[in-house]
Amino acid sequence: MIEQQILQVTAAAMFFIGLAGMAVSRNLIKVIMSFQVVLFGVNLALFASGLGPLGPSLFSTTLLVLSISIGASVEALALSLTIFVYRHYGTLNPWEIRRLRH
Amino acid sequence: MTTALTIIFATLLIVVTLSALVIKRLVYSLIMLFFSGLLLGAIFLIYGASYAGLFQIITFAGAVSVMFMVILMLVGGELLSTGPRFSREQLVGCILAAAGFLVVAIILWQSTGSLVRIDEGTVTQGLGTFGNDPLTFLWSFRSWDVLFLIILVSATLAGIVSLFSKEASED
Amino acid sequence: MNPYYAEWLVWLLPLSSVLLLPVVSLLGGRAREWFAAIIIFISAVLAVTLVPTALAGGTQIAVSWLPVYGLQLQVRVDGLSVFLALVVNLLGFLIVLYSQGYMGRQAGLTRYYCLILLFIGSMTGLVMAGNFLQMYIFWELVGICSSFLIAFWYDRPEAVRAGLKAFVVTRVGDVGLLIGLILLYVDTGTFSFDALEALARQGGIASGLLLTCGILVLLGAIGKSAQFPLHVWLPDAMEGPSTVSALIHAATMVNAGVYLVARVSPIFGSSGVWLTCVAWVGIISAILGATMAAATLDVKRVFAYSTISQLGLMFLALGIGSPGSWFASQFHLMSQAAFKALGFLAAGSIIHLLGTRNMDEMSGLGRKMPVTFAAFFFSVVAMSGVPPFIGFWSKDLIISELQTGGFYLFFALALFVSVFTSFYAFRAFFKVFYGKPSELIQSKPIHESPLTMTIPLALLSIAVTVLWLLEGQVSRLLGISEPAVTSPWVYAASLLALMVGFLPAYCLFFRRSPEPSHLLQRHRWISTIQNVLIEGYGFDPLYERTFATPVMKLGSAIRTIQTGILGKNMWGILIFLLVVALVVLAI
Repeated sequence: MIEQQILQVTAAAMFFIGLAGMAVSRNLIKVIMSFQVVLFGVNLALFASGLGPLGPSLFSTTLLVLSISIGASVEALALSLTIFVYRHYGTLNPWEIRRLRH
Repeated sequence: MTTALTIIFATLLIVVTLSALVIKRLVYSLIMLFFSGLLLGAIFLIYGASYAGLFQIITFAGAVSVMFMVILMLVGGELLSTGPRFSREQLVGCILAAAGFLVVAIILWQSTGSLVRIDEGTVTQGLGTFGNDPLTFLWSFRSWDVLFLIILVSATLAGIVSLFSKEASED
Repeated sequence: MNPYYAEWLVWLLPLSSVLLLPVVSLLGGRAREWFAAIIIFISAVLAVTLVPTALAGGTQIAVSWLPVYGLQLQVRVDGLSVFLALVVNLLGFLIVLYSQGYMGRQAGLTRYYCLILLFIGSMTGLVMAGNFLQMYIFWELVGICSSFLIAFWYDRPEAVRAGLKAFVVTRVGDVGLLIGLILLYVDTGTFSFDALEALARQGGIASGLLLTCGILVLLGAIGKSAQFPLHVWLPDAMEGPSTVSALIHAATMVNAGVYLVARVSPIFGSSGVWLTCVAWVGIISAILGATMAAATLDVKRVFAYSTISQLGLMFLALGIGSPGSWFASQFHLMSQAAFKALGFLAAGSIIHLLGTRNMDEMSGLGRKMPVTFAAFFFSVVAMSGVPPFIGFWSKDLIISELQTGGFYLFFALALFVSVFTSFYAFRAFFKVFYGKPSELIQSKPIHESPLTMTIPLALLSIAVTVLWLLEGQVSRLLGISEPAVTSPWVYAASLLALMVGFLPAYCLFFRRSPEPSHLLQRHRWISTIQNVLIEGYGFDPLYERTFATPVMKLGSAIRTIQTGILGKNMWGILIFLLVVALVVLAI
C-alpha cells in the first residue's frame, strides 16, 4: 500500500530529524523537544505498520495509545530533570554540562 | 485521493517539525511543536483511528505542550538557543542523521510494506462512529467537535504564553 | 541414604549458614566466631559419617534439575570425594579455630567468616559434584571467594591488585575448562562423570576431541593450582591474611586442580599425550617453584613457591597414569595440606607479631616463641622429607612410582626438586629462628599466642608426625591397593637428596661459615642466579607486557570516546543506527 510506505518513510524522517535535533541543539529544552519529535516518529511508524486495506488494525491502535501515554510520562520526567539541571549548572547548554573530566 | 491527502499531510508534518527544531526563539519553537503534534493527530484521525488520534491531540498537543510552556517559563531567561548557528559538531550530527534516514528510507520503500506490518486479521476498531472512509470523515458531523477541541487547546496555549511572557519581558 | 542426610548437608550446611552468619554476628564477635567453628565442625563430622558409604563402594544421588536439558544435580559419594571432603573440613575447622586468635578484633570480620564459610561449603560441593557442570559452578565460587579473601584488607592497594591478579589469571584457566566441558557435552550429550567414564572406556569419544578437551580441562586445573604457566598469581596472593593462605592457597583451593585431574584421569587417561602433558606441566612447575623458593626473602613466599612445587609433584604423579601413582598423588595431597597449612599458620603468627614478612629482619626468634618454633620445625622437616614424618612417605611413593615406571628423567628431576626443597625449607627455618636476635625482634615485645591458636598448631604438628600410619586406611578409602616401594634404592636416593639440600643450608645459615654475603661477593654468578630467581624468571614482567599493558592502553584509548557531552554521545547512537540499517540493507 502506497500510503503505508509514505507514512513509514515520514515516520523514519521524523525519527531521524529528532535524533539530529538531539545531537545538534544547544539548549536542553530543545533536546527534549527533539525527543518528542522522535516519539512522534515512532508512534507514526507504529500506526503506519498497522494500516490494512480497511484502515488501521485494532491491535496497532491499542499499542499506539499505550505508546503515546508512555512517551508523555517520560517527557514529563525529563522536563522536571531539566529544571534541576538548570538550578545546578546555571546553564541549559548540553555542550557545557559535563561531569566527566577531560 | 487518500494518497494525495497523505502526501500533503506528510510533507506538512515534516516541514513543521523541521521548523520546530530550527527556529531559535524557544516559544515559537514550542508552538511549532504543538502544531506538529496536532498534524500527527489529524493523520491518525483521517485514517479512522479516532481513539488514537484524539488521544494524541489531547496528550501531546494538549498536555505536553502546555507542560513545556510552563517549564520554559519556570526556567526563564533562556528563551533563545545560544551558540553559533553552523558549527562543525552540528554538521556532523546532521550528516549522520541524514545518512541514517536515507538508508532506512530505502529499506522501507523497497520492502513495500511487507517489512513492518502489524496485522490482527482485518478487524478495525469498533468505535466507528466515524466510519472507515477517510474522506467522509472530514465532512461528517463529529468534525466540528474536533475543530472546537483544536481551537480550545490553541487558545489555552496562547493564553499561557501571554500570561507568562509578561513576566519574562519584565526582566 | 545416610541417616543424617550427610551427602547433602556436608556442603549445604556451610553454604546456608553464610546467610545466617550476619544475623548471628549481631550477637557479638565471639558468637560469630564460635558459630563458624561449630558449623565447620558439624560439617567435618558429617563428612566422617560418609566414610562407611565410601568404603562400601560409594553411591551417587541424582536429583532431576533441568529435565529439558537432561541436567541432574548429582552428589557423588566415593572414595576421592569423601577423602577430599575430610581434608577440607578438618583443616577448615582447625583454621577457623586459629582465625579466632589470629584475626582478633578487626573491622570486616563478618565478611571474613562469611567468605570462609562460603569457601568451605563450595569446596566440599566441588569435590562432591557428580557432573562437570555442577563442579564448574562450585569451581567459580571457590575462585571468587579466594580473590575476595586475598583482597580482604582492601585499603592496601597491593592486596587489591593481588586479588585482581588471582582472579584474572585463574579466569584464563576457567575459560579453558568451560570450553572443554562444553565441547565434551556437545559431543557426548552428558556432563556426568560416570557416563563420560563409561563412554571413554568403550572408546566412544574420538581421540582428537578427547585430547583437545583434555588439554582444555588441564588448563583449568593449571589455573587453579598455580602451575606453569599460570603460576604467577600464587606468590602475590600472600597479601591476604595468613589463615587465608593456609586454607585456600596451601591446603584446599589449589588442590582443586589436582582433584580435577584425578577425577578426569579415567576419562582422559587413555590418551598418552595428555598424560605426558600433565607430567611435564607438573615437573616444570616443581622445578620453577623449588628454585624460586630458594632465593626469596619473604617468608610467606617461600611457602607459596613450595606449594607450587609440591603441587607440581602431584601433577607429575598423576601424569604417570598408573593406579599406584594416582594413589601417591592423593596421599601427597593430604600430607602437603597438613604440613603446608602448619607452615603458613606458624609463619602467620610470626608476621602478626613482627609486622614484617622480610626474613632478613627476623633472626633469633627461637628463644622467644617456642610454640611457633616447634610448629615451624615440624612443618619444615615434613616438607623436606625427613623420616618418619609424613612428607617422607608421600614423596617417596611418588619417586618410587617414577622409578618403577621407568621414567628416569623425571626421577632425576624429582630428586633435584627434593634437594632444593630441603634447602629452602631449612634456609627459612635457620634464618628466622637462629642467630642473634635482630633489632626488630629486640624492639618488640614478643609473646606467645593464645590457646585458640596453639591448639590447632599442636594438632597439626601431631598429624604431620603420625598421619603416615593411616596410609593403609587411606588406600582402603580410595579403593586402590597400597603400592609397594619396590626398591630400597629409592629410600636411599631421597635421603641423599635430603642431605645434599640440608648441608648447604646448615653451613650457610646456621653455622654462618661461609658467611652468605661473602659468598655473594666473591662469586658473581651466584648473585646473578639469585637475581633471576627473585624476579621469578621474568614471568611477571612478560605477562604484564604482553597482556596487561595492551588491555590498559586499549581501555585508555576508548576512554577518550566517553566525553560526557550529550551531542557527542548522540553521534555514537546515530553511527550505531546507521551501521544497523546498512546491515539490514545488505541482507
